[in-house]
Amino acid sequence: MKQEVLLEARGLSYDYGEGFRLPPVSLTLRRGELLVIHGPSGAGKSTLIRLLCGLLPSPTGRLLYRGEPVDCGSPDRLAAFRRRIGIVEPRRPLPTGRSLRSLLDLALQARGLSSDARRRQCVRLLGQVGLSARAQADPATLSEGELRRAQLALALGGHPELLLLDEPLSNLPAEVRDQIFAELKSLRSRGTAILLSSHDTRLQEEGRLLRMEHGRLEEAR
Amino acid sequence: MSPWHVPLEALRILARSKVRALLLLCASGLFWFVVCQLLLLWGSSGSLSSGVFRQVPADLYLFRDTEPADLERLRATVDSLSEIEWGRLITPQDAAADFLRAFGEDPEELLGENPFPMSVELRLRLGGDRPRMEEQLRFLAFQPAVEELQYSRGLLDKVSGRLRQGTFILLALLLLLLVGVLLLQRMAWASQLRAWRPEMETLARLGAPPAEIRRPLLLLAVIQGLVPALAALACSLALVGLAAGIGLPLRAPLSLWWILLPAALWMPLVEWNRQEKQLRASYYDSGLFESRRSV
Repeated sequence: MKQEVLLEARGLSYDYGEGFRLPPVSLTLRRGELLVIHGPSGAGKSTLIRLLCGLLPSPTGRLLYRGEPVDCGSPDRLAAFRRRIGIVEPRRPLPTGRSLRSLLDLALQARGLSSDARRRQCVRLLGQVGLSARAQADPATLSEGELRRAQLALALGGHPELLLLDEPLSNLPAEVRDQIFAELKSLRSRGTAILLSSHDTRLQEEGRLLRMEHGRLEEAR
Repeated sequence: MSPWHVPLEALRILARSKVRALLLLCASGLFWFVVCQLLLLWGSSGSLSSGVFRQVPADLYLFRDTEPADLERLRATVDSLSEIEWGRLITPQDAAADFLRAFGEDPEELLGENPFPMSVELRLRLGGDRPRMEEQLRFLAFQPAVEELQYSRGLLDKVSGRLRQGTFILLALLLLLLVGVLLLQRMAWASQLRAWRPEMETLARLGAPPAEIRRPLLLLAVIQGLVPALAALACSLALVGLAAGIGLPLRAPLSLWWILLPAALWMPLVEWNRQEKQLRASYYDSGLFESRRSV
């Protein structure tokens, strides 16, 4: 039996200016599905992920979450949509000058969790991404791999139904990649829908693979 | 949301940008101090100038046979005139005593009688309305008890001119300082907001509503508005006390609420406007989002 459609993009596009344009893209993502977008650098993968979480405006098409249009024009409505999803953008730096635990606590407050729930989730999330020992560390002192795992912990706070991950495994040591990979598999088995852009061939075996080239998206198999 | 979250985050912003916060507090303090000085200047220019230019004499010489009832009427008339700060009755005995103090000789012994008539020394409001002052002086000169009015119009013109010039220069300097301070305040505030931007972006991506992101910054704005305003008010009141000590009566509309209420509202209002752009840039990538539409 097919699972419920969580996210549906119908003809989303983006105008980069100076004649460059991401042509209209459509896709659907179901509960518990892993969708891997594969393609060379500059194909438009990151732009697509940003369009899907309302970070970029699409001059065309519609974005639907559980069948309802996402109103990206209103920060309040966009915030309500974002509380149900998790985003990882590796290129975006984390706030510094506070401990990782305090940052995670702030993130969980943003998700509307109570004080007790935050305390429990902080411990669980840091353990889940293997950063329990670094709970008091300032994000400025974390290594590249630790930062990526910290970003994943932030995205996982509040049990999102959908994860949108932009190159979560690139430039990471094999050991860290394995940890994150295992975590994503576990999340998927618990019903979380995951859309990610990656070059990692093992992930392609686990879910549906879409190939993106020159902004065009097509089923790879 | 925990009740301690907002003040704790506000303190964190403050701790993260100590130099900027100090700069902002100084700029705001200076801003409110200048505002207090403008209010002082506006409210007490008359009494201040009268105090500074005491040498401008205006005297009413009275008839020797003035009746007490006429004297009382004259006193009431002087009290009712807006451009006369006060009038002091000088009896012939007071005048003789002043002469004795000044020259060391008793005029009664020298001339065989007291030559001084009864007079009224007037203190004029020099910063006030000059034509009205002259009109009121003329009015006093025609009172039944008054034999003669003496004042130097030339000296009055000179003092009034200098006073106008001085007030204009001071006002211009204060306004210039106010503009400079506002620019400094704006720069420091923008820089403090930038220091908080990574948090704003993270929270926006995690789905925190804009109102929640704003709260710590708004609380900080109230604190950063009130503390320097209180300090500026205290300094200005101390200045008023100091001036009174050396005989310069400063009468100014320096009320606590006149300063504190705008101070409590000013910074959050400025902050609210500044946040708009930063918040939008936090919710959308690079502030590229311009239209409001469903995608």
